[in-house]
Amino acid sequence: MEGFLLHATRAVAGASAAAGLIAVAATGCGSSGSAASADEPSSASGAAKARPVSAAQLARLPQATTFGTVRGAPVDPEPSALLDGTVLHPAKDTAVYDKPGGKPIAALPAKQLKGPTWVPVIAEKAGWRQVLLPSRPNHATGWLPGGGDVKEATSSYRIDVSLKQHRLTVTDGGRKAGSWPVAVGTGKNPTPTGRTFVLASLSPSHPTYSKLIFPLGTHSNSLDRFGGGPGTVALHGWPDQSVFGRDVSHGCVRMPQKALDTLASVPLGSPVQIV
Amino acid sequence: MSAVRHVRRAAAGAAVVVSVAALATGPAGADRAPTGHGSAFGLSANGPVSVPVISAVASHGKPAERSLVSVPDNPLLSAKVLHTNAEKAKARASVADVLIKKLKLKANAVTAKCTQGMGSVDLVAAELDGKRLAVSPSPNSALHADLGPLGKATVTLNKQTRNADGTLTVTAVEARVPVAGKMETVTISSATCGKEQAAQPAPQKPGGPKAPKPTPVHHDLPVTG
Repeated sequence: MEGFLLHATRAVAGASAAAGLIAVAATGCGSSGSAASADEPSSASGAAKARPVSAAQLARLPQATTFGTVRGAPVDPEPSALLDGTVLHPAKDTAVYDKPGGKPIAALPAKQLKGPTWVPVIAEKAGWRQVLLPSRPNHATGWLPGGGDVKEATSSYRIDVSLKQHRLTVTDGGRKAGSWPVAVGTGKNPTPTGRTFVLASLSPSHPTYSKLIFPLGTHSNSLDRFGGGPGTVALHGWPDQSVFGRDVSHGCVRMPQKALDTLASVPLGSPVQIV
Repeated sequence: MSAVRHVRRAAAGAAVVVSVAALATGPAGADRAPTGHGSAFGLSANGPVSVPVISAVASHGKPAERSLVSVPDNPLLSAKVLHTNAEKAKARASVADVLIKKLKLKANAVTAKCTQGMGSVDLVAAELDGKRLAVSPSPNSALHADLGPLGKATVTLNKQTRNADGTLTVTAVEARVPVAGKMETVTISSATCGKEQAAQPAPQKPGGPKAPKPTPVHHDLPVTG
């Protein structure tokens, strides 16, 4: 089984570098405001004003993608708390700040992994929304100012993964949409816990082990890279049922193939709680 | 607020004080008990006869446990084997071989349990003045006993009190007994717990259009298998 896994990951390794370039290129061409000095003090009182960020400045910021690392990002203060399903999509590449009225720390691209970027809201303050970021380190967050070209929506879906029980459960509007036994990471390469989100819905060019792969906004804490990728943890199918109920993966959550149809309906940005 | 602060300062030195204050007052509203609070104590008596809180434990996320085999000699009550434990959103207090002579109240075991903000009581072979008491009495079951010239006593079984911070205190037996012309309050097996904060929703904001069902994109990303 291990050989099968390695084979599968190598088979898709060649495409990952291209994916990274696409994401970076996409973020480099947008702008979220007029030119201003990065040292300009912010208005932090009352309705905090967003510090303008030029296109050039935005391009120099770390990319809030699954390939990026956003150093200095505020850490999710309550990784075990539930989310309400509010999700945001930046219609264009947008600066993310360290606090309302604070300094820009990253660029959140409108698209990544060839799909639209949707991130979940974890808090609100003074018209700003704090969102989970898909980049490293795990539990990285950032603040988005109100207004602008940010689309808001609500996902009624939620995914719960119990590592101990080896079970993944999908609920829609609080009602169970499906629940399956799963395989999770080993003790050496555990599946990271806490709240994260569905980052993308991918149809791999060589569906060796799953016709759909759902990368999450979290990464392996033990593997900086894996198979040529950035160590992104994902939900995906697995053909060999003997793995379910066991700790066998490098961090991903392997599900029965029949779960994929339900997962395919879950909007991007939907909360995923791993405990 | 001040009571809670006092408790926190005193906590390092005296666990008993922690529970006394926390249970007597409940944390003030502005200084809410932490998520998953749990605490318990075996017994206490306040009045002319003073028996300090015995076998008290408090947990704020971490399990705590305590056992004692007897209570200090006193003219009011006797008991053996007091066991208390508390963990996240859970607490339990159990006292064996309880006897309050003046009331003719006795029981082989008196247990109060609190789980996720819900309480229950178990009484094993409990009798009041020769009458057998229910094994699982309803919450706040009040019984009255006439002690003749001494006055009247009240016994409350499964006393449940919701505290200001949302936690629940369940006391298996609370007896108010006249002693030397004054009322004595005896508390046997008391447990307090809150609800584990499972749902702390982010910004509840109704509205917003329904998030779209995603369209799978043809793309490859090596993931952690």
